[in-house]
Amino acid sequence: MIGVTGPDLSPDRYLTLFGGLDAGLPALAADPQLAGVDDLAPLRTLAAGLAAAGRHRDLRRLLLTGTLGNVWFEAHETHDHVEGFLADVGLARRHAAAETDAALADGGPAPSLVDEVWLGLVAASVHSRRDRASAEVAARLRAAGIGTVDRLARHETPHRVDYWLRRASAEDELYRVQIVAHILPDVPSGDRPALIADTLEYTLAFRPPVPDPDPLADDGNHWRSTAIDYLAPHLDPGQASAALNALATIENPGLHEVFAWSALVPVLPPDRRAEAIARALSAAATIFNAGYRGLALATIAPHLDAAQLQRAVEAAADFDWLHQPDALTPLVPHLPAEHLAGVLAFALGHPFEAPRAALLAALAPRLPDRLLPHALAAAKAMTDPGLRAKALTALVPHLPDTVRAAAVRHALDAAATGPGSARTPTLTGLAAHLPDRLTDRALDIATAIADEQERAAAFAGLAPHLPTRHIDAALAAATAIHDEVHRAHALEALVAHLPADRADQGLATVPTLHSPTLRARVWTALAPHLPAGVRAEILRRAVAAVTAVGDHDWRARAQAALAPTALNRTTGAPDRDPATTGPEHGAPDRDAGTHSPQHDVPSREPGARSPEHGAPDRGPDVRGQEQVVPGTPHRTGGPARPGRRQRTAHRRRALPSPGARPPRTAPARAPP
Amino acid sequence: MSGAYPRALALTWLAPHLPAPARDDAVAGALAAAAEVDDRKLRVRALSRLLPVLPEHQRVETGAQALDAAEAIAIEPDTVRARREWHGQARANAVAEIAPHLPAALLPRAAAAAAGTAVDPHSDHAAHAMLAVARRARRCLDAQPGAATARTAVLVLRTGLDAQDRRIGLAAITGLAGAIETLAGTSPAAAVVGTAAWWD
Repeated sequence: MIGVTGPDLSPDRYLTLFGGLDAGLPALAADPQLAGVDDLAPLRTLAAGLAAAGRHRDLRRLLLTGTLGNVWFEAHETHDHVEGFLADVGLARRHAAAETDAALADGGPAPSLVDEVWLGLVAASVHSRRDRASAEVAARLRAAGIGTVDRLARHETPHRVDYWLRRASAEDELYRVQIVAHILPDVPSGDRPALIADTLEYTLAFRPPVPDPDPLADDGNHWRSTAIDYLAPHLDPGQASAALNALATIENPGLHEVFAWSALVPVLPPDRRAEAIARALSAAATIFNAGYRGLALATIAPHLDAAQLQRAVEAAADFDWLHQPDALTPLVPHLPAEHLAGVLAFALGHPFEAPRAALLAALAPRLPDRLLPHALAAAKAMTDPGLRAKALTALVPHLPDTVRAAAVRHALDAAATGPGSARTPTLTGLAAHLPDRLTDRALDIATAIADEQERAAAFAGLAPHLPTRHIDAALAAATAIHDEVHRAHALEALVAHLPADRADQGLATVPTLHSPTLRARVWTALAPHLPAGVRAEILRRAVAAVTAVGDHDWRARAQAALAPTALNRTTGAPDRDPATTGPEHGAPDRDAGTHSPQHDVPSREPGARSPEHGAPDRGPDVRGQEQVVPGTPHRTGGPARPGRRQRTAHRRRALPSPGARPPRTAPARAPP
Repeated sequence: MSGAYPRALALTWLAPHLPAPARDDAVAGALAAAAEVDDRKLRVRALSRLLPVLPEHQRVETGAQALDAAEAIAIEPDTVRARREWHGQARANAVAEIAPHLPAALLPRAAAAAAGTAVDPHSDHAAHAMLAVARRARRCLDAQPGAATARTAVLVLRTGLDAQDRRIGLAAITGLAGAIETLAGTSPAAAVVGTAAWWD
């Protein structure tokens, strides 16, 4: 008989191979691939071997203390063996639980309970890490043609779907259907029919849970109609017919039903489209409110034949002169050409400037050349600068070159003297038509907008059309916006249009943002302009930044609840790694104030950022990003696995040292 | 909707102000009325209001009824995911509502119910429910220190840590903050801070 000898599976052999437990497994930390020896035997047998040998303290050190937890997890993760890591944690948890139960039965303290907390949180963290990412950033990455960023690429679609589904308010059923409609393009094609069918079934069967005794209250019909409106583009002809049947039972159809019928028309079987159009037109023509009637008529207008369109025009005109503009304006894009001159004459003769400006703006894309001078003259003659700017801005794209520049200047003058609310739409509308000599003036007007949200939107609108010489001024003005969200909006738009040789200026603005998500937005906008090596690093940071947003609020609550003991430890037991006192471990998220007062205020450790600055800082992101410039590889980003190395370094800094477990004899101190 | 729910609330409100025989009648009437409430969420609310008014020996049975009602909120399989999440949140809210009034014996079951409501990983409802249960466990331990309440607190903590969602585990730790230190003789603060790196 021939003896077969397998590899030596003893724990000590592998621990020695990895550099020794006492030293922190340095060899494994340097090269997690080392755990793949003997067909992954260390990952499968080491923890179990320690437990079987009764070496539970070593097992605990392997899983918890210092950097070892990270090293062991990294080894498992490198070999796609995370389930094995969780099994190791489960093994240690069961032992700790047994120790706890025995200690409590004896009536003594059970320090192993803290091990249960450690191990339980580690396991929960590993589970939680699997299910987080930002749909927004994923979509941006995809839009930018960048879809291969580590784990995000693998989980992009499910995350996007889950994110939106789960964001929905529990009480707002309509929002949920809206979200389903919103994410349907991202749902894997195999799952889509079932989701659509389920949602439609739910929509058609919906009744409010508690009937409202008020006879005028919505009985759920409008809700259902709006839900059908959202779902309609995704329905097949049979489903659309079922939805049409449901709508037909509504006694007093209104705007919501017109929307639903209009949305169903393209997906209905051909023999049922006329029914939907007729019902929608009939309902729209009898809506009492002029604005709603105009909106309803405009919605169904693309599906109307000539006779029906004439009926729509008559219905819109069936108001007094004061309300006619409200009904006519939305319908203007669909009016037969022969009606345009009449509507223009009506607009020019209207005694009020607001409806006149609205009608002119609506008419602008449709006016023939012979009528444009009349419209332009009427727009210039308006006394209200905001309305003048609105009408001129609408006309500018359709004017001949000979008069366009002058009209742009008139519109800018009007915007500069008009209300702040008129400036942003004017600048945004004119941006593509700005002559080079007027871009300075446009930037000045944008910079002078008092409302920061409007100012940011103005910069965003101007960004694609700003000459290179304005980049410095625009970035400086955007960086000066105080509100972080609006600042990010402006920066995101500006950096997205930077020339490649100015990308470093865009990178330099990122440290002005404290929120990881906002930073990620700017990074992803900037990424397409960066050299490939830097882009990969920046995108990894963006992914890390957005995926780090998660449990800060609950962590802050737990730390606040544990604060008295933490105080004892900082004064009585010098066992805490200074790295753990950084701001990332104490500051609450921006929304922490929405919770009960006793849990609002976590411990404010030295160096913690004040809550008004939003989400906690992620140390390495800030410290590292200034070292990244285009063309220069990040110093922590090795060519093989730069992201992983950086994350590992972060965890090492953040974790307590191997002796971090607090001494059981820490001096007692009364809570503050 | 029948009048059972307002009747249960009215009798619950009246009971503490009535003399002994009438009080018992009011409590019995409130219990009977609560049992008639069809809507499970409203039944949970009626029973949770009634629990503090009840004599000690009735709280376990009534608390169990309230938990039954909370766990049965739309428990049937639902093909629409959005509806499953909605019902999960409704169950979590119900558990959070009754938790402050539950006797210690029912808290492990309440903790399991809270953890079981985590249908929606992006919602905090399950964590809030767990926080309510853990706080109740800590108060029970503070009020009646002993092996039984200690065991209850540990079971609640383990249920929270088993939930595979850091927020639920942290909620259990938060609610049991003082109790864990008492039982372990040391603080779990280092675990909370140290494992933050796993998340980040």
